Amino acid sequence: MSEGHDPLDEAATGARIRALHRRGVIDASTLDALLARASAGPDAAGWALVLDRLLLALGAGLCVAAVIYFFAGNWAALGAAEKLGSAIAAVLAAGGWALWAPDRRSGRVALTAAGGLTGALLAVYGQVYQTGADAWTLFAAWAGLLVPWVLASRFEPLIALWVLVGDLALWLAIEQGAVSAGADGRPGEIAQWVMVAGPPALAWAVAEALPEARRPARWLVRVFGVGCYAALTVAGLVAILDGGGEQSWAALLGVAVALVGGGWSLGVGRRRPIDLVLATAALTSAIVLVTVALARVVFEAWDLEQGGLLLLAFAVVGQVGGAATWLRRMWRAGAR
Amino acid sequence: MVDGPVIRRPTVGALLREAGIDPEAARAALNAHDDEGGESPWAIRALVGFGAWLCAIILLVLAILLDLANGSMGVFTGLVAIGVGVALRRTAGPGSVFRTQFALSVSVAGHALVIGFAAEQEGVVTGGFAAAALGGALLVAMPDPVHRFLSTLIGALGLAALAFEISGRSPWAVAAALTAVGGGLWAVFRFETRIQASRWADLHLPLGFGLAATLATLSLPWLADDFVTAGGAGVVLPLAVAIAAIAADHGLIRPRPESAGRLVAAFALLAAAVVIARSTPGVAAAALAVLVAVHRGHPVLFGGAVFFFAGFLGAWYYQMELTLFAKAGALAGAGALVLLARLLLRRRGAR
Repeated sequence: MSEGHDPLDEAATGARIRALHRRGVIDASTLDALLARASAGPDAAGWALVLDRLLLALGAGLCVAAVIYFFAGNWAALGAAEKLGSAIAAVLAAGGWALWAPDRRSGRVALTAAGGLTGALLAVYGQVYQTGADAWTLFAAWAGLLVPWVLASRFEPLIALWVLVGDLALWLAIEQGAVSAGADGRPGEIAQWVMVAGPPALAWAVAEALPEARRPARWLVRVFGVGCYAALTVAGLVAILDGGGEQSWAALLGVAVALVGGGWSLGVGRRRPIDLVLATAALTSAIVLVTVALARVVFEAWDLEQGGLLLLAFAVVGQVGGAATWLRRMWRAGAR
Repeated sequence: MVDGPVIRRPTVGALLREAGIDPEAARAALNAHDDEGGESPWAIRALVGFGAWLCAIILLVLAILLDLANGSMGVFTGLVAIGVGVALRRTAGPGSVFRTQFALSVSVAGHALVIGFAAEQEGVVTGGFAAAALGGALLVAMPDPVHRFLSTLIGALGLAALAFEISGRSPWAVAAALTAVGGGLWAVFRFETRIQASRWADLHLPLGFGLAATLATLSLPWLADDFVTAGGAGVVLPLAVAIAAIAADHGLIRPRPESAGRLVAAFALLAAAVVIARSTPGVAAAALAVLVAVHRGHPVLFGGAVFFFAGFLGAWYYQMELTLFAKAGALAGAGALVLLARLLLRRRGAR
């Protein structure tokens, strides 16, 4: 926060370049030249690189999706050996490519594809040998098998897939009664959502704790943070609308995670500039919860109707306006 | 998949250094620009848009409870609300965040009242016409980037609904609208420099992002059963135009006799991939938005397109008209052709 905001470090948008012209810093001919330069995009070499990566990602993504769609169809004409054999062959082909070119981007994309195809292989195994096991075990096994690949490659899309699969395993385990909440049996809905916030929260905390050189790309940290806030917001909405009841421990845990994550997002205890996207996500989550809680008070405790709606509308305007003002101030103080 | 700097614009400082312009004067000018409202990062604009939408819903319910939303009274209330919103926004000073937020909310609620009444009482044609007219008028009249984005979306969707109804609810009308919006998206960013230097400069980004959101929205009907056989190939044309134009801009299709055949083959394969996957126009729409984002250095558009791509493919799984095997075949065919095209382009580059 202390570094401050230098407007010269911002992207050269049309509005900024025109502001320079309006204030007499550049003349009309320079205006045209700077506008053209700012939106010129990559040069021929840059385009070749971009197209190469886009086509690789698109092609791999479509092929992996095709394999998943194919096995999801559970084609009766294929025998067990053909099904398992083709799924194993797909994993081996992608894995083989990854081994052949471990340091190239195509190798890491192939490893991610192999990670996705491993899930398809496990699903096919479940189709062929129907043991009656719950679906969460498939996802848990899938997440477990991905661990060495994630550690070896540290490739962001594969890390994102791993956290997503782990979170799905947790969700299904709770749904299918594999997670006990003491004498009460299955955890309630609030607890379920607070638990689902766990994996992305943990991944986010680990990413933030890593030294700068080893930290994953900022988009991935943001995905983890936003995922955590989304789950906590749903938990909060359930608590407000249905009441906490016997799940007060879960509500308290959720509040604790939200306070730590929210405080961190809003700059408490940070030495680095705050992340504007995560701060916005934290404030959006808070605005939603405060508005819904206020609605309950206004309509149920105070028994207001039209006046209550007007009050709510002004409350939303006030909260969003205040949040936007504060975020802009943070941005000008150096937040990114 | 694409490193940040490739799709990032140069900074103001870098441009000024290249042009040999005094950075101190520029810094002071830009600080003053920001003091007067200036530009906000995309996350803040998204929050403001979300707040306006939430508040508009509350105001809409209030209008219904107060009996202001019934029949022609609804149109009157809606038009008054839009007028109040425009007046409040046009007279708001720099930094009037609360006033701006309220103006946005009132206007969005007004839109819902007018368009909702027109569609419910007079039919979808009138509703579409009302949406198109309001969108077009307020795109110019409302000096707010978030509202202009919404006006573009509302207006373009209104026109698409109009075309759909007039054509007897033909999916091909939506395909034609997709084609037009895709072409419009490419054109708005292709001529960015010219628009940014003109008196319409403030409309540029809201219009471009609004068209991108419209393109995504118009791809969604293909998730329903009726649309499967129709019109997905409608996005082939703008996509092909965009690829060819972008490639021409950057010398990628400059004649090189030794590798021209490979280039032509690569583009042919890509076109074939789009045709094979024609029942997934969301994929082609996302690809077009990604290309435009890279072309003009807009990482937010890039990120949005990537998320839409993943979401569309996930949702397409549940589309019931095609079997999973037909879908798998389309995806595998398109994916293989794309990878083959990449291989050809790499070999061309290596020469």
